[in-house]
Amino acid sequence: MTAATENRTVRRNGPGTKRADWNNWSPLAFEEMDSALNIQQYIQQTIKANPADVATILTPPLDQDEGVWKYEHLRQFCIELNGLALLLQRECIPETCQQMTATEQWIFLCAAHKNPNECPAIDYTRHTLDGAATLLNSNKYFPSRVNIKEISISKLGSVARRVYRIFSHAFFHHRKLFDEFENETHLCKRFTTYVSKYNLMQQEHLIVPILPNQQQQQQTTVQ
Amino acid sequence: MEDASQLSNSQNDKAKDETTRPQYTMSGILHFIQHEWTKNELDRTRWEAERAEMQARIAFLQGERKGQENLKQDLVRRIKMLEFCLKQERAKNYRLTHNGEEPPSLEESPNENSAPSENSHLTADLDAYINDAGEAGGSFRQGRLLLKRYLEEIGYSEHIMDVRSFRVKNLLGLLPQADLPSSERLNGRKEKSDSNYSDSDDGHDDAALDADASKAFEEFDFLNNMDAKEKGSDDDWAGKGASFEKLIKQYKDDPKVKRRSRTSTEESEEKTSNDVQKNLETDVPPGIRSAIDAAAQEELPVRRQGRRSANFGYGNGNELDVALGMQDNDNMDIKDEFKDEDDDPNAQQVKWNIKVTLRSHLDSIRAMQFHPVEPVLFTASEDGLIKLWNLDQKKDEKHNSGGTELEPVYTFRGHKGPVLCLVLSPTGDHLYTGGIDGNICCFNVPSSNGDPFDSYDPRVLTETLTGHTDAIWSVAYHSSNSRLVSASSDSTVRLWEPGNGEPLIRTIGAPKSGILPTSVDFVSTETSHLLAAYTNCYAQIIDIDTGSTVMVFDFGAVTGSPTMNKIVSHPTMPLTLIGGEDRTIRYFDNTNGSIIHEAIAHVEGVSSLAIDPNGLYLLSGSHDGSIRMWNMEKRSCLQEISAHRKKNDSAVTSVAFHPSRSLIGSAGADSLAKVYVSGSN
Ligand SMILES: [Zn+2]
Ligand SMILES: [Zn+2]
Repeated sequence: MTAATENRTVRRNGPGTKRADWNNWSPLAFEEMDSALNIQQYIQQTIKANPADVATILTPPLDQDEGVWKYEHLRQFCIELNGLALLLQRECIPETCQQMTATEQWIFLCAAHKNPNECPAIDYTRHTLDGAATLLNSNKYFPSRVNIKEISISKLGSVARRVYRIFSHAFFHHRKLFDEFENETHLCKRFTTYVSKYNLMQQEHLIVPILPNQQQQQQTTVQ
Repeated sequence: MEDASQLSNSQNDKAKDETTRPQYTMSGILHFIQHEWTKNELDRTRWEAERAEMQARIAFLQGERKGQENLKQDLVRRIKMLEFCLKQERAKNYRLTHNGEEPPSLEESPNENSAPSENSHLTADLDAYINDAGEAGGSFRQGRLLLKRYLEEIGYSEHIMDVRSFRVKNLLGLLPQADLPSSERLNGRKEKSDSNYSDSDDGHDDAALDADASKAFEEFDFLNNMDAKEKGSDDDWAGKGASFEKLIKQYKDDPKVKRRSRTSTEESEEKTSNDVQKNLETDVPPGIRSAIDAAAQEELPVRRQGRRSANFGYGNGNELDVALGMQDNDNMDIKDEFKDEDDDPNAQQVKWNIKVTLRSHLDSIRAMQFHPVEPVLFTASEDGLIKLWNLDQKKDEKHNSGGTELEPVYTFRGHKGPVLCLVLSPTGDHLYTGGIDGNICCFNVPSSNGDPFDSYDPRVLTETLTGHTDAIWSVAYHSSNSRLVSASSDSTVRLWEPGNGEPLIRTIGAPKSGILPTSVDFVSTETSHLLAAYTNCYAQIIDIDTGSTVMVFDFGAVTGSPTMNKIVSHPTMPLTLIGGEDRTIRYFDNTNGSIIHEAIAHVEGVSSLAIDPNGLYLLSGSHDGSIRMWNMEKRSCLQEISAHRKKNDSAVTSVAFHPSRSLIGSAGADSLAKVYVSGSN
């Protein structure tokens, strides 16, 4: 092998990589990411750098196509939400959470079934995440990760709306678990910022008071 | 520039309500162009992959077409032959009724004794024979032409049959192969014995292939017997056939023309196969050699036979041409076809074509394995999930997924963060997965026909084996005592017994400080031995009963200290294969730890290896994005498929053979898994 190739940083988590060294390579400028999955790489790189820096994570590279940007972020949310689902598997059981609820105002029906079903919370969580993975991989709506069809963008909103209920259920029913997860990942904060920034959800549906302005709002309503 | 500004205009129109960005920055335009270029490049690679697939398909269909045309021609010629026969009978009748006018050589009485006298005449003088033909009229000449074609035809169709059976054998590699050549032979004979000329064929075969003389003589005898039974009323034709045969033999005995018909291709082919044999004899230790020889004996006769029959058809034409004083004419095109088929290495190879792309994971897939029996696949991904796929799944209308694509039947959740490896129990009932979280999850495998949106059953995850303090990169299952081995970047290899109260049985540290285990597999020929590969170009055999090193593989001189990514045991031989980050695949002899063979196999690091259940084919996957199918015996590459796109510098991460079906799979950093079927499906 030539010296040039050897000197090049190989960004690869090969077998034997320690957990601490996972994705632990010098960051690459977005312009230099020449793979087709550069947006996913870029998003994961900025998260790795600092998961709490939501603003930076959600700042697209210059002139980035917004559809792909939104799409890849939603993929990333679904990946990380698997972590929350794993935690919920521990204590969110049908005996205690017979329905998918957050506040008592709504019971959410699971849309993974042909006829929306009143699944227990843990099943709602699993079904919704599995359904989201299927939809985001659908050849019909998202045949390419480089180019998102305009008509498919609307699907992002419905996926976002459904997976958000997992946050809200965890927040209102498994608060300790939610905090444990949120402190590590800042995922709900990032998600709320994301759907607000791209108008994927209506503000009144964002019921987990995670952003400073939401907390203020809640306080004012309480008062 | 105009184009660029237009494009950025339109972009801006879209984004106008969002923000007011500088409209035409140079970097913006450049980036746009770069972006477009990347897109085009991507499309191009995809199109190229599709093109390659289509070409393989076309080649296969063309082969099919040739076979069909050939069959048609064969039937037409048979009809013509019967017509010719009838004409001959009429001519004979005429001659008998006009006795004296005809030369004695063509005077044929209906009884069998006439044949020898005719033979003696024919063998005496070639010219006389041709004159006879001239006197007998154009129909006789035409008949010989037909005969010649027909003989070629037999060779050709036999060749086609060989190609097919070879292909089938190749792709199956799963069927008892020893049967194939013999059954094929029988088919060939059947076809030959359908014809009255068969004895002349085989006589020719005998003479041309003196190496196989004795075997061919047996065939000859056998066919003569068969023919004798079948002759009946066609006696005179049989007689003519015999005379041809004598004529050909005489011709071949002529030193000037002897062997001229043997083409150089056959000689070189035989030479290479001899070389291969020789290499095997010198390179391979005795234990392995016998096994390889056994494999080779299954393999080679078919190839040789195919080669021989092609040549046979070829030579037949040539020699008959000369013997019968004919020039090459309209048969040229057939010969060209022979040649093409011979020269084109693809014609005799199995081609794997993509059957289905499995899209459901959201991040790089790290590992895949097929169910031992069912058309079922398991994939483990960095998205933290393991998915079960039923490749025969009927589209279920119950689900609101909006697509017609294959969806996973079950999704396993048990790991926090990426899942890096998985292994199934030999029955396919239990699944063991290792993750970056340092845990091993033991799952009961749910029904592959279940409802993907069934309610959660916590009993699916039966146990979590904790103890490793860092990522688990490889798990292997011991088929006979239900034990599990794991390799972790905490530098240890651990032996577990799931279901036991104290599942951890043994911890085996790294043989040297600073090296980490990467991959483990059990030795197929010695069940208490474990293969372990490490970073820093190290691999060894460990006795799992004692935890001690049995053998350290000798890598010889290696530049740098590349990580050995994947270690696999040959299914039947004491042979170990290791794929390395240095792009190399190495074959080791377990008996002495020495390298049998090493070769750079890919453009970038080899990430994964899989061997078919019979140990004849090797599948390798690499970060260059391709998977390659290898002939293990010849170590030649049979096919390359560009399979997966890169994420960072990773591409193909895992490859697999189905243990009992003609399916292979690949998985990659692009979150996709692909399943391929062999070309004939
Ligand atoms: Zn719950
Ligand atoms: Zn449901």
